[in-house]
Amino acid sequence: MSKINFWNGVPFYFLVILLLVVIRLEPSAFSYNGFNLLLSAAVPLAFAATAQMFIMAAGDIDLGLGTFVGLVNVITAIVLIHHIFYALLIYVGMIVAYVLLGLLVHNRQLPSIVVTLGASFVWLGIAIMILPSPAGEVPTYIINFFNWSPPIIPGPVIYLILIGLIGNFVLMRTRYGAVLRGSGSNAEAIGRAGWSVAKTKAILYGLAGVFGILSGLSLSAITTSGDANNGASYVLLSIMAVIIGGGEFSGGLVAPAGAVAGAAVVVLIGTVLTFLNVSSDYQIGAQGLILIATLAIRAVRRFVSGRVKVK
Amino acid sequence: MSTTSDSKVTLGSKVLNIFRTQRALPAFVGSVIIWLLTAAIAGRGLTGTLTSSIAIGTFLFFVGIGQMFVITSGNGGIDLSVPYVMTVSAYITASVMHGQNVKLISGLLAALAVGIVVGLLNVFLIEIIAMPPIIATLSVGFILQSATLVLSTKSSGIPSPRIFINLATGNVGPIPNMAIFGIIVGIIFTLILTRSSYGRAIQGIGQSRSAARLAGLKSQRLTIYAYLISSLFAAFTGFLLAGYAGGPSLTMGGNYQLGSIAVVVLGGSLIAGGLSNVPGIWAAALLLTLLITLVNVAHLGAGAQDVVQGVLIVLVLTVGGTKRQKD
Amino acid sequence: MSPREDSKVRLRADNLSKSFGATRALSDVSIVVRPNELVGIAGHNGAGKSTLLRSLAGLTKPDQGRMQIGTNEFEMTDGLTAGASRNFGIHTVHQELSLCPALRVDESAAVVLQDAKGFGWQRGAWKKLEAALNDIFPGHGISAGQKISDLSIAKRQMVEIASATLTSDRELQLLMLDEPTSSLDADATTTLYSWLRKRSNEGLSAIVTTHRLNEMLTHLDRIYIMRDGKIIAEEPTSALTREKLISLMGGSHQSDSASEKAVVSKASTGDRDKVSISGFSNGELKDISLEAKAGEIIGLVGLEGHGQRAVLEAIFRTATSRTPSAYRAIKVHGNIAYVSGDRVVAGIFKFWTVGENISASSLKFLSKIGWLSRNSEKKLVDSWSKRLEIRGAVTAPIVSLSGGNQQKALMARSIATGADIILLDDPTRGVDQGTKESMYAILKEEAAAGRAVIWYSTENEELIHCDRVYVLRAGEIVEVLEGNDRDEARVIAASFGAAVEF
Repeated sequence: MSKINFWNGVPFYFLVILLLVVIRLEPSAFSYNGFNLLLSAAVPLAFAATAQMFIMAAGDIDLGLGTFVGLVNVITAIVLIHHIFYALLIYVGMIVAYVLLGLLVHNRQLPSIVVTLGASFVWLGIAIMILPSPAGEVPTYIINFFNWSPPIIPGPVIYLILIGLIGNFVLMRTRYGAVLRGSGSNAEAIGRAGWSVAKTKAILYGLAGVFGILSGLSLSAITTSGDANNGASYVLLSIMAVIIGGGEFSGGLVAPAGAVAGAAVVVLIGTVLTFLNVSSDYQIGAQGLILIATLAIRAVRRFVSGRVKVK
Repeated sequence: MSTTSDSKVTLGSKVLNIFRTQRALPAFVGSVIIWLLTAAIAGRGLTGTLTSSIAIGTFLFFVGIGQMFVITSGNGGIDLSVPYVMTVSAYITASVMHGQNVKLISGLLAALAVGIVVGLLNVFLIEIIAMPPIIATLSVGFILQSATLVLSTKSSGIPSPRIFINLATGNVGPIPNMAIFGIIVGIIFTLILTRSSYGRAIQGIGQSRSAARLAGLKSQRLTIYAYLISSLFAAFTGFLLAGYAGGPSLTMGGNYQLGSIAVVVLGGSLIAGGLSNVPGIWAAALLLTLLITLVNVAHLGAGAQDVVQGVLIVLVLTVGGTKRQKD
Repeated sequence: MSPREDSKVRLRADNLSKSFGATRALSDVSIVVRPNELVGIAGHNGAGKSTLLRSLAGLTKPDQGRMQIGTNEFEMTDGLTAGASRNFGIHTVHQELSLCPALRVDESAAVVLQDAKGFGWQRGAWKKLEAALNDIFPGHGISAGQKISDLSIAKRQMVEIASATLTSDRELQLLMLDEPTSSLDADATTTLYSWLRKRSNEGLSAIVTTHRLNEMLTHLDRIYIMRDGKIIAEEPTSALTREKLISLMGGSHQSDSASEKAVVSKASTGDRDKVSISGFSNGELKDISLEAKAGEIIGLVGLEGHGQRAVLEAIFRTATSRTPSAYRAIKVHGNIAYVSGDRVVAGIFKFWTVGENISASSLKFLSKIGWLSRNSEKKLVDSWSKRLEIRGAVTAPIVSLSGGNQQKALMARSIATGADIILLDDPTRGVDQGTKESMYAILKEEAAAGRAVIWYSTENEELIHCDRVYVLRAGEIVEVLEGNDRDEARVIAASFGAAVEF
């Protein structure tokens, strides 16, 4: 486990505070069904945040995640129901595409911002070509899988914990996870130690692709139908989740469990605003302000502690 | 006269010149190809397509110029707030002008004010709070989006002043006003980039921040101006676009986020900064606009346009970057 | 410790040569290291120590050379890689830290150790690293969970060195250390050498490059002395004294009075100081005092990286800062220009022509209300290109010019501003002799015209062009040389400091 100190727990404190606020505003939320409703929307975002986290661990950023998730949603609603095999093939192809993107970015030293922004339009375009307007039907087994309601603990809570555990395990508990994070921190050192840096990029992007697929599948379970624009907001929201969760932009510094907590925080902020009757018009602006505030506080903390920037 | 070093030098200057000035060439060639393809498939209206595309492409061209200055400044510079600034400016200016011809200038001033405020805000977040430009400009954009949603409920359905609509959509003979306006602005900014000290300096800091510092160039101030130029262009274009379309709308920003970056890249400017040109942006804006027409005419559906745009960008980046010096 | 017979060789390299453009970094170097030996490589700036080590480690491919490791022999031009080096049991600790700031100490160790696998890999890797740390640096105070980025430079160096000694399968045969003690404190240095000695008794060989002469004489068996890319001497340490070592490197030892700080103030000629520093200290510098008057050429010399650049940086920052007195102890009167020696990274604008590079600092003067006058620019650029005899048209891309001409363009850029003070950061690096001469001539002309020149140089022959030379060591000025005292021998001696090194 990474060093446990006060600051690592921030996203979790945030989460608890928000839960308390929600319960205060709406006491009936403190129930099995309440938690179910509150957190079910956090599951797809948690997958997406974990995907974004893998990319940020590489020192890059993924602006195509939103439309990627939308494309998965479209495939799930249109193809999966009729041709399971082809749908699976497409999912695998999409993961391979992410691996290739990662190799391209590494090999040609391209800026991930623009490459993923370009990719975002490819995903969106393909999604629109397949499904110009919302339609389709998500298979029942998908809906049931993600709407699982076990006794005592609501399904979403279990899923969130699982996602956090998996992300944490892969990056923080395996040795290769350390190599992956190292490649984002000091790629030359990793190369000198005998590891293939290209392989680390391929794997990080591949993992992001896998979690992107999972995000799309779980989102489909909620929407039950397909829309190319579903998930479009996930780009900024996933970045927010990773940052609130403690991740930073310099490569290698990520907090997988924090990213999941961050996803829950983001969703709950929306819920709180809704309960406070804040018009949905303001919600997106509020998200921007929160992102700024989080980074501003971090900047102040850095300034105060006078910490030397590590190159 | 030493022959080998001299001939190496002239060859070198020739190569560099071609490298620099002709980086815009692919965009022009691409436009011609797409234009011919469109005409071939549609079987009609060669010149009409061209002039209207130039006119419509002018809006993309304008925000592209602004984005170019930000990207040129290097250091990860990028402005993702463009579509949101456009939209909020369209609504603010609409409500300032309230459809009255006489208030046209006030509308313009309001647009400039929006541009300055947003530009300063972006710069503050990037330079003082040290937020990465992607996040800073995206966050500002989202705040503006909320502002737009609120404004739109209050000032919905206000048409643009009649004189404005006439100016924006009018023609001088067969040539649309917008096309002429675009070319004039293009020439001005080409001169600014190539012949002003600012244009020279901003390309310097994009090549190497450390060299620029030691050479006495004031990077921070130059970057501030770059973000201001970008926001001003975005605000002005939003104002202008509302005039062209007859009024503001919530979805008007649509394609301009990727679009503004795409035209810079496709136009031959380096995404890492330090090497840019304006004519390429004009040609790339025309190319992307013609692409929309081509996709429609070939009945390829809305998605195809996005896919082609995305693939083009990745392709141009992959192929067109400068060789990195491995040491 | 007497070396074993020549038939037993741990590593041998013959006829190693390497050039970087115009610079001959290694010239027909031959070196041999035997089992149980601790070998040192000594030399002043530009001697070739780091290049030699990098070549042996497989990071730099020499132009020519044969290597023998144990019983394997091969041509080095075939490309010995870093990985292959490790396969032979050769581990290297370089000057640039190769740790990942984002990782914890135990994770960092596991990344290096190829066999730390499976459950409990962190603990396994940490156990090995901890054992090494305890062995080499007892009392290190480093724990498994600390992030590399949170460690001090000294502790990072300890982790770096300890990590380099970790092996999975092959036994460690040869350890190469490039300036290992520069960031360590006295205790850590002592324990490191004790450990090296202990291991050498058990069979380990080591190559150490350092400028800490006393350390070499006390702890190592044999020393190679390098100068200008060649090995000019090889002696067992028993046959060497500090004075002999310095003189072999080209220096001459002086009596203690010379190593006292001597602040010499020129008799007042009525000229104002252009730059005057009195008692300036910061993280890297201690109590610096110097002055540069109009018409003077001041040299900053000593071993590389001992604060000379920091002095230039402090002066530059003071002059260009918007706050009235960035550093109170530094006073700058007049405009300033900086000539960078690191051309590629912090010097040239690589997409521009020679002319555009030259005019880069003069844009303000060449423009009226923002409009750049092409005529004025052409006049400026042509005249300076002519004056500095730059070989290459002003319209040619700067990257097509030789290193020397690029440097001349950078000089032209700075002088063209008409600045009163010119700072030069080791500008003759990798520059051919002819270009150097013309650069010296220009500097003299500019000084004669009334400028103050402050010049950081790593080539001691250049100090003859300076009116006054400040020798820096570990961020302090240890000698000030003027007149007849300005000779290389004294600089070298002073660079290595007083007999007591801590």
